[in-house]
Amino acid sequence: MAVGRAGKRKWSAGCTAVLTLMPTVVICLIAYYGSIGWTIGMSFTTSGILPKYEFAGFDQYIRLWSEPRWHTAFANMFIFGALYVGGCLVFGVALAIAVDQGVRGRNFLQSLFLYPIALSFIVTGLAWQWFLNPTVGLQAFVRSLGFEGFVFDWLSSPEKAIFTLVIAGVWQSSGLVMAIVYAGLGSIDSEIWRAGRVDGIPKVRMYRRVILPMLTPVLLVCVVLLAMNVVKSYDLVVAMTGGGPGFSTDLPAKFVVDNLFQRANIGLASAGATVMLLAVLVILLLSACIQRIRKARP
Amino acid sequence: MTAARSARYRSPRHRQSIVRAQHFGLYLFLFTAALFFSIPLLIMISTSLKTAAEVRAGSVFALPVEPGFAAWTRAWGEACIGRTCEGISAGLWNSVIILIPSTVLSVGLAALNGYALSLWNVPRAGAILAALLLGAFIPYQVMIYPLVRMASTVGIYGSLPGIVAVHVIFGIPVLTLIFCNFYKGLPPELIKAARVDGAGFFRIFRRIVLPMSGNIIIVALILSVTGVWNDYLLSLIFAGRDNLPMTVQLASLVGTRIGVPEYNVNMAATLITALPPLLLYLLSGKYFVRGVTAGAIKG
Amino acid sequence: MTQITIRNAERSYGALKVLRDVSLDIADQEFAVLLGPSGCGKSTLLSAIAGLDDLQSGEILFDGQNVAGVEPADRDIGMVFQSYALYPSMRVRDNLSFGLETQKLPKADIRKRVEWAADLLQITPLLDRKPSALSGGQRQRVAIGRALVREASLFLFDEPLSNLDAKLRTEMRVEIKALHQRLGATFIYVTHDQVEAMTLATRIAVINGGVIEQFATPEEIYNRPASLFVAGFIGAPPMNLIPAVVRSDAGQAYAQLADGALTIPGLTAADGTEIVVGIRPEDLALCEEGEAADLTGKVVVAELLGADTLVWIEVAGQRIAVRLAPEDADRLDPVVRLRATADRISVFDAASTKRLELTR
Repeated sequence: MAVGRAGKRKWSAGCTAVLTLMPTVVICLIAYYGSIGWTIGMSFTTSGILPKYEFAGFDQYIRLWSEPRWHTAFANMFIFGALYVGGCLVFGVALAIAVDQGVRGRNFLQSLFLYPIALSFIVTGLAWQWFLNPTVGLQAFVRSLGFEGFVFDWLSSPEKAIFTLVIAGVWQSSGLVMAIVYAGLGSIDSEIWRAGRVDGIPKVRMYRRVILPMLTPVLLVCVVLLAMNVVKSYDLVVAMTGGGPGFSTDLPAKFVVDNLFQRANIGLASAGATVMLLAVLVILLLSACIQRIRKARP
Repeated sequence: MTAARSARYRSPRHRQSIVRAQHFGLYLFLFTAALFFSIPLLIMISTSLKTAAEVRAGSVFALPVEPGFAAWTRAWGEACIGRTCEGISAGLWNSVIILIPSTVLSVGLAALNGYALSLWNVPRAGAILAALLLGAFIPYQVMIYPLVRMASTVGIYGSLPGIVAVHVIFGIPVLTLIFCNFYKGLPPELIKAARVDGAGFFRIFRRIVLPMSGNIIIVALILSVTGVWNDYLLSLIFAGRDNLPMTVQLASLVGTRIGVPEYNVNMAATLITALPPLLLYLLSGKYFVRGVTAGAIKG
Repeated sequence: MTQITIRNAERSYGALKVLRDVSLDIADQEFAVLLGPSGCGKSTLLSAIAGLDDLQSGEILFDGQNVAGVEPADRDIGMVFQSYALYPSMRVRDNLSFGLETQKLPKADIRKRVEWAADLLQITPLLDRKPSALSGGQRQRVAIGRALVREASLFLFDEPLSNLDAKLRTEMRVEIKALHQRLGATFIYVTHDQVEAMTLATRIAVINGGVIEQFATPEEIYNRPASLFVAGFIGAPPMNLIPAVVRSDAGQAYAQLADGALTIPGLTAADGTEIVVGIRPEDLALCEEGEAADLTGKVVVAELLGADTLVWIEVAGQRIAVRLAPEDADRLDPVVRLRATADRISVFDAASTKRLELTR
């Protein structure tokens, strides 16, 4: 006996696991963190059309904050962000609860609410641009019904164009919130509902006081996902408003890409990108903190 | 005794009227929501079936008088993008040849990585996964320029391998997470039993783990296909002029402002671009929902 | 032929020490049972023997050869898992032959071995089914079959019966025992069920907190538990453990209980030593008229077990179990006087929790 026992140490399968993992992991990590580091580095240089490794301190950041276009973009991120996240959350939760009431045609409705998520932001943007276009879209339609004074020209108004982005964004992403929250609702023990019925607690009150608080972690996940979309939003702006009228719907993501590839302001763009990175890190840290606090509470 | 008792019950009729009002509100809300979600799509379809003259004359809500596919044919093969007037059909082919290697590679690698990370004792598996996922959360804008430089150093910038590599790199984290979560649910004893049976890393993967991964592979494929197909920014920058996929061609087609904008053609082109993921969505149903929520629920 | 030696095995996960300086000698053809509560380290020890888990220090020898770094597949072992771990995508036949194919055995050999194992376990009609189409008991048999076809000289069982219902468990227990006698191989069997341990083992290793408390035959473990833990773990209900202090009276040491005194022949511990007296429920009996009682207490409750009746009695604030014949239990006074069989009493040192040897 002692077939293979004789002390030869064989190539262990665990090593194969590590070796298989290595190439992709190393490439990915270099691609991510290498680029992030590089970008941060470049934001402190005088790089213009090409990267130049000449230390410039915070010059690019000072320049960034003196650009009115960046101010608009940065402010827009918060306006768009708050309305988009809030809108998706409220609408998505409402949809999930409504669909969860055992309504007829539930599957159909869910598919209908979720299909925009399968579309690219480019498609979404173009569809809404067409619908909200004052000369041919909704405004023209209502006027043709006889309401000559009807005005719905948000798309071409520098002050209100940002809200059209919110409408399109909410249209695209509420379904995601619905799907996630609906899954969360399904995971709630049915005995909770029975207990509520025995106690005679109205449904609305049940949702507000019992069910939604139980779903806080799920909602938090939604907020993080949506907030990430806000920081990344590029396609939607390009397709819908092109950043206009003027620069009124510019967002940091678009500002950075434009400065990188059209205006050849690599240093400035890197500074903008670094600010975006900070925004993401703040979001992640905040959500991590909230989770930590929630867990620490008994 | 009976009188005292019955006073403690509330009349059922009062309850019923409340319930009825709630029901009405519920269905009203759902109906409005359904309109909100369907109108853009319906308008796109109806516009794409109209003639140019009809689009100018009628309102967005008017149904096409003589529905026809003229706009679709134009969008497919004749519409002008910049100065070339070949429609977006070329973009479809580009999208497909970007899509296939990107999804196959990223799903395959993610499955292997997920398997290694969750079922084998890889040191610091948690940290590796976290590092990958954190990278996936960072906006492309932060990494894009250095990546352009890296890609041109390696010599793949502006080429098919370039865009595929970028898609794989950005696709792997979330897909790996999905596979990890699934494989963590498998009994670890299965791997132990196979090791006692003398099977190695790849043999266990091929013979035991892969045959059990059917559903999760579908989920990952759907997620990957929609992501790659709908991508705009990465393709715009990394694919190079000859490989621009449909989304990019669509955006430039609509953005081409030569002459009067042909809304019907634009809408047809938009629909053609949206059709593949939309069909995938309709056909895959539950898997799709699992895909879009998978990363969220456990991540 | 496989004889296993474990020397000073240590394993910890982070701050948690799962195995502490474990040493064990398992003889050839032995049926060794590793018994202990969940989390005691018994499964970790089995995994280390299988080569599925590495030790941090110490060594494992198979027939005197160190097996560190030898892959599980090369250790000439067969293993049965708690969840059976059947490959769900393969038919029963392929489940059995998978390991043999990996070894690249000739097809005819594989066929012969699979048929032999299937016949032995009476699963021949199931060979072409998928595991999902099998009942719990059938899966269990397939899992054993998968270990058998390897014709190993060492078989490892990790709580193989804990997912079965009570009736099947008894049935499979008998089969496993028969299998051991028939194969003449060494078996190592992990369980938390003391009935399995007592019925199957040639020797039992009782493990607690990563330490082997006792490694001995079932009789020895039951009659002469080596520590308070073993005494309190083995037996249903376990041994009554009564705190006491050693006193001596005219050179004769006796145990001073909370109320009353107990003469223990052969007790030699020093005056004032704190001890624990252990008495099995069946080693207590009712006193005859006029006989001096060792323990006196109030009856709390009587549990009818069938062959005998378990009577719980409160003695000085402590519950004590007494096993009585049903007819005796029927006519109990509210207060009973008990007598212990003197030569079956165990004594433990309260400080070290180890058994104190009596000079008999």
